Amino acid sequence: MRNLQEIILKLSQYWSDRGCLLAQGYDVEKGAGTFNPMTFLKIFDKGKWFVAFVEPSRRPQDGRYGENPFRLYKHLQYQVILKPAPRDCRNFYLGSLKAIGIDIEKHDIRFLEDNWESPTLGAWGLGWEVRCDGLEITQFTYFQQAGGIDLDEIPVELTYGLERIAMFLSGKKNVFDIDWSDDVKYAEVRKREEREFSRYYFEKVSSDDIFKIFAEFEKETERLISDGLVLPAYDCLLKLSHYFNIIDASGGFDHATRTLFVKKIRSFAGRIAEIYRSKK
Amino acid sequence: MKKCDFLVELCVEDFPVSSQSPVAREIASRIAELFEGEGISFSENKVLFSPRRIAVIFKGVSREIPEKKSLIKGPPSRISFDSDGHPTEILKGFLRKNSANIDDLRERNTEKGKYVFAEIRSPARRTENIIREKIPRLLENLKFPNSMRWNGFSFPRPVRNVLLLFGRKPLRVKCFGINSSASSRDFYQRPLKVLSPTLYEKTLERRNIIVDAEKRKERILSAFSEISERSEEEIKINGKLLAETVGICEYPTAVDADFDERFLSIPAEIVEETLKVHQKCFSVLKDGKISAKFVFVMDGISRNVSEIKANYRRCVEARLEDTVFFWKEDTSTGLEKFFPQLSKINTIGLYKNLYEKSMALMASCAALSAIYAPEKKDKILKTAKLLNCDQASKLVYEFPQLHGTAGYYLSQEAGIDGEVCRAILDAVSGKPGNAASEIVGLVDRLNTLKSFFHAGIVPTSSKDPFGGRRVADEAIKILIRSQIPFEISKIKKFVFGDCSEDVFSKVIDFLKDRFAIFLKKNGVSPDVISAVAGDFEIPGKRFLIAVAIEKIKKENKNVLSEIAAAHRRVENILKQAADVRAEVPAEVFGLGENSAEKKLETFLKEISGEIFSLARNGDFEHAILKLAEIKPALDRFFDSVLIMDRDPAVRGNRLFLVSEADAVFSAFARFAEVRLENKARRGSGKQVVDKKELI
Repeated sequence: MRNLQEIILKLSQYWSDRGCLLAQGYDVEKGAGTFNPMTFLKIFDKGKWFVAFVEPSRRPQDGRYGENPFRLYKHLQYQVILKPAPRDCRNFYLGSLKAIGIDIEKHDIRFLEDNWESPTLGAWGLGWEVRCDGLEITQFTYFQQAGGIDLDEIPVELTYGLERIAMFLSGKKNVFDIDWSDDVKYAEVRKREEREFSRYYFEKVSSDDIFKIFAEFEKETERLISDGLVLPAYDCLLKLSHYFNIIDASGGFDHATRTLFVKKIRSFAGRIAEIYRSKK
Repeated sequence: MKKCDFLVELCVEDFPVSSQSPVAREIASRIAELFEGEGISFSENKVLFSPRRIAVIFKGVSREIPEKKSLIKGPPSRISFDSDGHPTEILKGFLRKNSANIDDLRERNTEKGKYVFAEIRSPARRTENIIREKIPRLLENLKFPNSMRWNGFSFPRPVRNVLLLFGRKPLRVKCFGINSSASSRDFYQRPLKVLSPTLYEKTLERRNIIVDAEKRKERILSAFSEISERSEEEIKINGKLLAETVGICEYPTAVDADFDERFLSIPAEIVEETLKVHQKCFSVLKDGKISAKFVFVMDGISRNVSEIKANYRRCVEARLEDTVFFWKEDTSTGLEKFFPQLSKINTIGLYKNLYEKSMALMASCAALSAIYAPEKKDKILKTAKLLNCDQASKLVYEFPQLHGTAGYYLSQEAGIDGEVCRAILDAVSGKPGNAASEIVGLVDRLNTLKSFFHAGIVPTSSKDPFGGRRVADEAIKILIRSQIPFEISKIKKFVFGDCSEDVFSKVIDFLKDRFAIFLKKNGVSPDVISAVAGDFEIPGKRFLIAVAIEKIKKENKNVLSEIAAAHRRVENILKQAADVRAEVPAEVFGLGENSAEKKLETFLKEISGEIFSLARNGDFEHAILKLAEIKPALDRFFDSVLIMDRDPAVRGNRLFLVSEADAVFSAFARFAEVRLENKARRGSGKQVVDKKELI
């Protein structure tokens, strides 16, 4: 596999062949693909739901001004949801590694216990981080609960770390050296963004202002929930989660406030999930 | 009776290491229970497990349960049939209840007359039918903590293949929603034909699956020693990491690799922790020092090693790169700068955060150091202040296990006094070292326990999520091993001033329980433990007394029995006189120098002076041995006077002396509690009679 976009193409082809809907990343900032409504809300629908998409995931705290060879404030996740999880989903997954050029019999593929929890979504699951020769390349999770609700059709969520996989396959030691396409390097697309956003999050954030924005979105979420407009309300929740992350990265929380804010977002997530399920 | 072996194997998606053995053992014991209940015999069972399979082999299982006949007593004959000879409702009810026919009835004479009996045959049954019928539900209904739910089932992780092999016959059942299989499965879910339970382990091993955890461990260790021999270096074996490694592979293959030497510029412990926590790799020592090498264990046979090794090296170096970044950030911040940041770290219970807890720690340590080590007060306060600072560092955030070690190195980097650096390390690890580490280490643990009990978190053997017992055990160790004679009354005043009396007594009771367990672990017998249990004021002294009594019990039993007899007698007298104790004076008065009372008083003063002087010097053994000398004097006294004299003044004088004697004994223990029966009499048949006992 020569470059990043080829990996995305191959994964998309592979999962499309296995009955997945190819969706898109959702255009509101978020920390992980799980927050895409194709995951968090769609898993509440009854019946089969197979979907795959690329999700740009922002974690302000992980920003390193584009200077660390491994850490990024924004990285690409390739996310697959299979609900209900098929019996041989693990083999499906191993097949996808072959599809992107990882000969699993020639490498040390390990499933290490790593259970997942998203306190703000009231969601948790049991699963593994999949390692290839010591490198974590995928989170493999069976959801158990979301929005505080016990799920009865258990979805499996596969989250591939695309940059890591690209580094692994190309043998590059620096994420900015990977080829996005044959002509364009990752650095050309992303380095300036990393630098500027790191400056913003670590140096230029005014926590007071962000707290105000948070409060506005909080009001809006509340209003939309009481109008029963859960999808717009969910967009607001994504904003809340993003601004929460920004305050967190800038060091603007004391412990009690942080806990309180997690609770606020979780409570919205629970109510949105509840209404989404009841109004079909 | 024909016998065969029975194998049950569940292929699962990778089990958490901590679940493998308990789940396998639970399955073994529940099936054993089922077999016993059904009358199926077997000789033994073998429990096997790996991340991807849980298996139990039952050996010598009886293939059949033979037919059984039994007679069940029914109603008396006279009420079983009506006048026409037809069965009555009573008899019909009996037949229904036992699913018996009229043909099964027999009439028998009993002491109470004729009765109707039903002859019930339980037909011969085949074990395999019972397995087919009962085992699938048994497995599906097992309950484990933190189980996963899927398709209406619950198990630690999904079950993807079920194999029930009875002799050479795979039994077909539906279990966990899947049809049982005639074969096992490998990593890729490819079938693996197993011919019989006996061949199970061998068959799997031929396909590079070692299902016996012990054998996997041996394989790792022998590969380690091979590597060590070849490279003349030592692989540092961390027990926990080894156990985890055994639990995360089916065919461990150890490979040695190296990383860039520049990473050795940070402290060795931090390198080791990075290798261990993030990459589950073992570190390597050359002449006792860490070297730029590591050993990783891959799963499966050795293959494509140079590429896999290069990939592992890249991961290890990436992690070390991160760790170096944290180290640089932390050292440039400086340990003391972390102090105000402790307010952002939440703690359980009494103190809102680590900052508040540290402030309380400093206050208590200031007061205690004034009493116990005034000359070191500054160093103690500095240690108390810096103790938790590393918890706000990036290193400890990333590697919580480095708390203490990070504090040690970061304080050194910050140019802090060497004694304080060392004390931080020892106070966190609970290792007695010097006054600073002991006072700070003790108070910090007491504050932790105080917080737990304040929040209603009571550690028990079955539920101790925050490790309260470990914290208490470490506190006990400091109390006992320290040169400082810590007193509970002082601790109460200076450490427990900020909590309720109730919390204080709960913490102390808990410490006493843990103290008793500590004594037991140190070979002190239960009777000696209860003899010293009453007084907990100076735990360190109490420990030495317990050990001394235990030693005397073994080496000088006769003397100890003298002491016990005297103390018992004294105690009995005081118990009988409990009502009149109020009149006991503070000293013997109104009697001449030659009175029995004055003689005893003088003797007690003298001997107790000697005894307590020995005790003050820490020689508890000889102090206690000396207690025996009180006995003859007491005996003489009791022979010459009657304690419970009618005259209240006389009685008062005498009771005073008895209580004086009691005080000397009780300063050490309640010796009456010590059991001294002679085990030799029961054991070898050789009679060892204590001469003094006969007199």
